[in-house]
Amino acid sequence: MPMSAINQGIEIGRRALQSQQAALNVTGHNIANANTPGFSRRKVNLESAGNGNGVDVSSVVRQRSQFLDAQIRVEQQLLGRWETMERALGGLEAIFNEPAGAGSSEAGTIFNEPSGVGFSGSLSRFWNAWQDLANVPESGAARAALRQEAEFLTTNLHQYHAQLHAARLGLDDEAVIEVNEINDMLDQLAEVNGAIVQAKFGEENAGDLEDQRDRLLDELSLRVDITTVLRENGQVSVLLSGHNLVEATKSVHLETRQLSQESFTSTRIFFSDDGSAASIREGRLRGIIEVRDQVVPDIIERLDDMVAAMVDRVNALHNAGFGRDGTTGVDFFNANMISASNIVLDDTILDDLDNIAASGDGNSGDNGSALAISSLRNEKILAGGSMTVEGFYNELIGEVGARSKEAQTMASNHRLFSGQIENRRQSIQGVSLNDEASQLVLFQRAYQAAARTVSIIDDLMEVTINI
Amino acid sequence: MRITTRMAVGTLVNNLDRSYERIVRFQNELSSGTRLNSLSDDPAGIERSLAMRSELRNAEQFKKNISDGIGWLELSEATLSEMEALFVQVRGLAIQGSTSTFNAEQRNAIAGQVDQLLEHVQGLSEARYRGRYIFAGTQTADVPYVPDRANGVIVDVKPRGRTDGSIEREISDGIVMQVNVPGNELFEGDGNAFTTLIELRDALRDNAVERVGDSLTGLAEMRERISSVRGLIGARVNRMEITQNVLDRMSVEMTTILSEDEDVDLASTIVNLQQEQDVFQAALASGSVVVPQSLMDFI
Repeated sequence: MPMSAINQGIEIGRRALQSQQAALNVTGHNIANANTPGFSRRKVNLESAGNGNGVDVSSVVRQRSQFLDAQIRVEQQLLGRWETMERALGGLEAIFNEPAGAGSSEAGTIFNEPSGVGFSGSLSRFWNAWQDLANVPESGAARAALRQEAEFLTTNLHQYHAQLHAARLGLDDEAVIEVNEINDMLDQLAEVNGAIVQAKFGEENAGDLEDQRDRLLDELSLRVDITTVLRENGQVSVLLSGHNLVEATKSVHLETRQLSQESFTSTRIFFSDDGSAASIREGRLRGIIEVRDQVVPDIIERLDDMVAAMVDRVNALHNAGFGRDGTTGVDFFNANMISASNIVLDDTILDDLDNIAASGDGNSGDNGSALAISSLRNEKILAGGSMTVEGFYNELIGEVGARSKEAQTMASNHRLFSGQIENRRQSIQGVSLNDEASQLVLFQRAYQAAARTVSIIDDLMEVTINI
Repeated sequence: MRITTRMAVGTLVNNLDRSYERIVRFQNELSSGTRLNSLSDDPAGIERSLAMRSELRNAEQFKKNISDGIGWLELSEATLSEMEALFVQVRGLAIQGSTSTFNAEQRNAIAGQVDQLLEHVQGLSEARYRGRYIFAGTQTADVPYVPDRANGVIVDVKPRGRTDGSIEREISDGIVMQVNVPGNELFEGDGNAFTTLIELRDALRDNAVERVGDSLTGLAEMRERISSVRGLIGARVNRMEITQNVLDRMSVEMTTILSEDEDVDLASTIVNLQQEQDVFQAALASGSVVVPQSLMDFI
């Protein structure tokens, strides 16, 4: 056994002080970041320096589970999609809120709206106004009331259409904003990729950069369905449906272009490098696109079908009837305006109430035409002759409600799942103040003891010098 | 499992959120009085309740139609009952006039009475319901019968136009019922209300006892006709009233079902709210104890 020099004791003390100091710094870093989102706690690995030379810090390791990271990103993509749909569909269902309430047919409010405002109510009041006219076909007052109900009905449809259109425009704007945010994140990822390699090359600790990278990937997953490949050098490649978005320090942007479809200009998404169309399957962006391109147009189309059928049938019967002054062959609704956005009464009706055809035989006391039009409410004129106007509309808003409910349920499920995975992840990477406090005590005591060792050796050296 | 500070806080916040969401929902149900506050609360229930609501509104409309129809029929009935009484009276006069003990002057006096009654019948033929001539078929705006007068005396009464149009009310889904008595059933054709009276009057005036005697049959037939029309009206009113009762009962039942579908079950919702509030407060209390705790407090 080699003789041990007294200097060696100093050296051991110095290393110990240095190592405990480093460990204390890491503990301090952990405590400081206890509430930082995306932070992974660090663990100091101490190691015997060999040859009885005391201790060394062998490594500072980021505590992280790649398996859970991958799981949560898949979950985030679903969560992003359903949460967006939950919000967007919630907005849509609010458009169709119907007045209702217990007790009587009109009084009271159910859906937070004043009585009689919804379409279902105004539709049955429209049919009933024809009945009222049938009771007094000679009357001008009943005609005026009918025209008012009809105008109310058309205004109602205009409002629905305007609100649906506005919802679509809003979603389109959101898509552009999402794409911009996604591009920002892609740029940041490319930058972090570069920084990670540099840090590792300079033998610096890249832990904070890696945390930043992982946090960006989490957030990106919420927006769009990316897949990732982690390279050995710490760089990450990001792909969207097989197309590279980030590779090393290069990022490929998503690009938006305005394309006109029917009367609506909508934003399509392309890859900026080769201009091919990007297909987006999950994430917020998917939720936005799905509601904008499928749900809303479907509702508008069905409202339009309903309007077209109503205009056609009411006009056909109205043409066959006679007005108060004997005029016949007149439209009730303008036959050229057959969508929810523009349905309007015919000019002849707007000009003169007497042109409303209540009579079936030309005599002012007859109500054949009014009765016939009123009984359209029971006629199955929609969905290939299988549904009444009312049934068709009720089914439509039932479906709007059902879709919204589905989105709520799905979003709530995925919130729960991602919460559970996040908990498991936090169990590994999260900072526990109890842990850190006990580490503080441990390293503080070790530091004090090491300092004591040095001071004792110093005493010994003094003894030696004074021999 | 290793529990970290953020996990404890995160779990607490999640649970508080969920609990609070339920509290707000119960509260919303209680304050609005209904469990259907938006379409997604119960899409199928809302479809059902909208359909039922519109049925209720239809029932209200049918009841309105029925009460209007009954009004129309009852006015016809009142008019016809007066006419029937009048014909009974005329028959009495005709019997008097046909007795051989009466002389020409007396018959002439009776003829004067009959003439007044004829004027009255002509007046009844112009009966109006809310401004509409009830015996005018569908040409309700115009006087249905125009008398021809010679020296101020009615010699003939002619229809102004067609009076046979039928006026109908829808009294329940797809069921329509005629509410008018077309004038032609009483005031036109052979032996109608006008001609029987005119013939009797003229016979009395002409002192033609035989013709007066002959008119008795026509008068009896006329009374028969009026009576049978009244029977028909009675049957229609009856049917409308039955329908109205059915609609009333249906409205009550539908309102009950609607209320079961839509209204909040107060007792159970309040109990649920209370329970949820307890949970929420327990979570808050335990959170405030557990979360700030760490070893840091003791070293």
